[in-house]
Amino acid sequence: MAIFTEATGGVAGDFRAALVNSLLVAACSVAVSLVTGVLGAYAFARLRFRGRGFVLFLFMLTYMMPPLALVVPLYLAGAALDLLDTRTALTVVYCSLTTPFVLWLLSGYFRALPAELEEAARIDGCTRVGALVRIVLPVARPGLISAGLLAFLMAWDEFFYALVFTSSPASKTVPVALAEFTGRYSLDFGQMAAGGLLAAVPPVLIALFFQKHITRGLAAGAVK
Amino acid sequence: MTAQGRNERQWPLALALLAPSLIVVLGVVLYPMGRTLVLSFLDATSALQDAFDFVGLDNYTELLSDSGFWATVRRTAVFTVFSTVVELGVGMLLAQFLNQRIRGQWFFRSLVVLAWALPTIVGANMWRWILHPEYGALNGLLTQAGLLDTYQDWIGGPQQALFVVALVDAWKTTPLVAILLLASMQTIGDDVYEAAAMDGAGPVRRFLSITVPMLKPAIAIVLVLRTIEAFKVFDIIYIITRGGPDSGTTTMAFYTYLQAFSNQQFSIGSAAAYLTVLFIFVLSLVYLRMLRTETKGLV
Amino acid sequence: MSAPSISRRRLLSVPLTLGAAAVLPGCAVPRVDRIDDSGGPARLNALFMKQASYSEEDVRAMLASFHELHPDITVRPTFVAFEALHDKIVVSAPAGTYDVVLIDCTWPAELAGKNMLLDVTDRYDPAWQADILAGTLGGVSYRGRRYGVPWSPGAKMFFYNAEMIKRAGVEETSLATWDGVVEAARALKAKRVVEHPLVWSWAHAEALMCDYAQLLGAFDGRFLDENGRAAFHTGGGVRALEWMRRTLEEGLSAPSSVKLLEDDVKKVVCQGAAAIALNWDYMYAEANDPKQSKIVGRLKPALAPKGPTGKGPAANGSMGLSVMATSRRPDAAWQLVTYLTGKENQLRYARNTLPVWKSAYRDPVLTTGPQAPLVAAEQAQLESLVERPAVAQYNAVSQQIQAAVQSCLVTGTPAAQALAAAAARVNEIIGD
Repeated sequence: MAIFTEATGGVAGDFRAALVNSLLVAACSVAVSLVTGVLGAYAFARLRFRGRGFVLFLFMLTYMMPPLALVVPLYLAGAALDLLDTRTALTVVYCSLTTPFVLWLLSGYFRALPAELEEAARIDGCTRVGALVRIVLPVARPGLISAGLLAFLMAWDEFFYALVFTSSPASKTVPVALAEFTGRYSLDFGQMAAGGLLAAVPPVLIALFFQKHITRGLAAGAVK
Repeated sequence: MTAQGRNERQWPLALALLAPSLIVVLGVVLYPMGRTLVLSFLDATSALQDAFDFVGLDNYTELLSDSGFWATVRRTAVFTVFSTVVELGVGMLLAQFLNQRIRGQWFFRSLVVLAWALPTIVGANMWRWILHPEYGALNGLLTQAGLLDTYQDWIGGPQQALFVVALVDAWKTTPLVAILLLASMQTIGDDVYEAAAMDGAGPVRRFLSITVPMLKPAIAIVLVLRTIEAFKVFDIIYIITRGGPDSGTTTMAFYTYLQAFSNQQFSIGSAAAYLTVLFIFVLSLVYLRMLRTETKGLV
Repeated sequence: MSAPSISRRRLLSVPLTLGAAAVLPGCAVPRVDRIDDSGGPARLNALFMKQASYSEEDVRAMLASFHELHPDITVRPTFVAFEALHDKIVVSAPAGTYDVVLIDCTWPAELAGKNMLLDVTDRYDPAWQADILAGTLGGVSYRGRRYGVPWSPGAKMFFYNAEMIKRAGVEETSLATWDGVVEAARALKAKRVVEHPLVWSWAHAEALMCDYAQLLGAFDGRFLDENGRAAFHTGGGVRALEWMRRTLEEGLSAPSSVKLLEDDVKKVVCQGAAAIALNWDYMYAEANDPKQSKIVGRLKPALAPKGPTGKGPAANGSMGLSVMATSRRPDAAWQLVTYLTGKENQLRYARNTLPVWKSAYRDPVLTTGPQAPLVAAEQAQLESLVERPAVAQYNAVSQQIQAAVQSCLVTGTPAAQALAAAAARVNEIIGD
């Protein structure tokens, strides 16, 4: 199939560029949202503070907003900052989508972990952040991996913002490239299927790579 | 130490921990959210103009008194309930299966991940092709198996089509739900099950009395997330039915799209978006109230 | 410092700037609408479409030749799927991203009505009027003003399988009227040449609008009256729909027609499962491609059949190039539009897309070759096209008409009743 064999340029070259764009954008979004999400989630899971409900409300509100309602002002802001058609713009937007999600998921996860573990560590002189990094994170690995994978796929699969913000191979992502296999009156299903399978490979590889970590049942061991 | 005192002490740390995510999220969405809210009180019918008349709540009252809008709400509710129930039911069984210690489990898990990782664009187009009334694979298969006399148009009727796109959405997200539940199941210690088994509880009993209650927080999360996502589903409908036939699959997200993009009724679109948020928010609260004991403090 | 530090600072500035902007959510991000008419070097952004009419390679080659002629104008092209074209124009308009855009013939009312397209009526060369194919001009006009230049003409053509027609003992000339088509279909069915001689793209989609528009035109109907109110629920509009319904009831039209799009119709015709169909010109080449077709050499294009009053228009599927009203370099943009739509440039690529210039059709590149029969038929057809309703809320209006036509064809609602209900809703939409 042409997608696999064709040299640079044309459909195949564009598709490969899209794969690279998608990988970069998704990986950056995962990295950012995991770091920020872990910190925020820990605050929600373990700390009591005023305004907690309000902050959570804000996050939920942003997550509930249909992207359709935000895309026009965002496009204007992107144009004003000269960020249209860049991977940076997509990464920034995707981080705003994945972070509340990761944060929320992990706060539930952290809360399910027994607090005694950390309390023991803190009695031993560990700070809260120290306890988070040394005690909570290793135990929460299955949660982190699931959240990271979710964030990755969310960014990998996102269609609407990408459709609107990107226009050249410099920033087009896989879903947009795939959508272009649909002609005005026709659909090249062969290309669509081949491209789709190809697009599923990176997330599947990542999931397979981390699966051992999930199956090892770290969390289950720690509860004992 | 009083509770109040502890709150004061933890506040700076909480702010420090939350600051990065607040910046990442609010930095991007606050402006557009504010702009959309303002637009919903104006009379914006062009992307190019700057000044519009202030119409107060007119856009909202217009929507809320429009039977067409309520039909959209009803369709969204049907879509959401149907896809969420299927996702949760199938996802739970799938997670339970994936949690078994059987040979080749990695293979099944990979299959689930593969189904999940297939881009929505591809999945939706694949279904469009499978369901095609003339040369769709489903018709071919069912007629060959003798289960069908004549070719069916699976997305020909408005109601039918709504269930079909909801099913496609469920197909797309069931793996995700299963993986979320699986991650949560793995936090349940084997000893709990062993103890229950020693007490003579069978597999079904163990599932109902240990797994399900222990998964309540995860179920709550799945319910809320899936409800929100179902309200926002756009790409599947955009590809398979474009909101048709006879507006049968025009859910709130697609309605917003039609208003804002096809008709350039930005204010009506903005008001519809905020009403969507309102509905989701109320629903989420109801869910969380229902599952309160396990999720205290989530909202 | 090095480049990365700049980009990092830029990255950081995004949330901060947006955060600051949120303080004043009511203010639009200021638009730069100053027009730069210095005539100095210009950089233009142009929005094109993938996978139809001129190919991406053709457009890039055209732009390269344009740049040679105008070294001071650099054009950066963007290619998107047809489905994304409209939304991209709408979203990008306030930011003024694009200077030149490709538009579909159903959009001028909406886009020009919202002041997104530059009125180029006064820039038109008087000589163009006579040489541009008359039908295509409608696709770039709104309320008597021009908002672009036709670039890729298209008509939903009438095709028939000549071999089947012959087997049924029907004269090809009898296909010149819709009455003749019905007689021919009866003969094809009676002689068991084919079970359902006619196939249509009557799914709940824009394709249905094109076919309905064509028949409405043939039956002397109108979408809108002179006051811009719905008029399709009386006269020709009703007769056209009743005619459509009858061909289904009689089994002359394939029952699956109400579920098919253009591409499906192409497949049915190429499989030899129907004898007569309307479709865009691309069906001709595929019907003659042995890899995709069982009817190589049998499909013939012809002028659209005529209705009772002698009218036989085809649905307009043309596209044109427009200058965005927000372009900062409208003069340079207009130069690009006139170059791309110019006869010379169009003739150079005429093998792939037909020109809009009548005089170009005398060129051997179009009068010879395998596509020549199609070219001849389409050139003639492009003089007589029917427009879908030119209203700003076109999509909403189209949805209503599609629903009405479908409810008559699928569930048997009487044509007049279904269309009257739709007309009321259409008037409500237009009245907004």
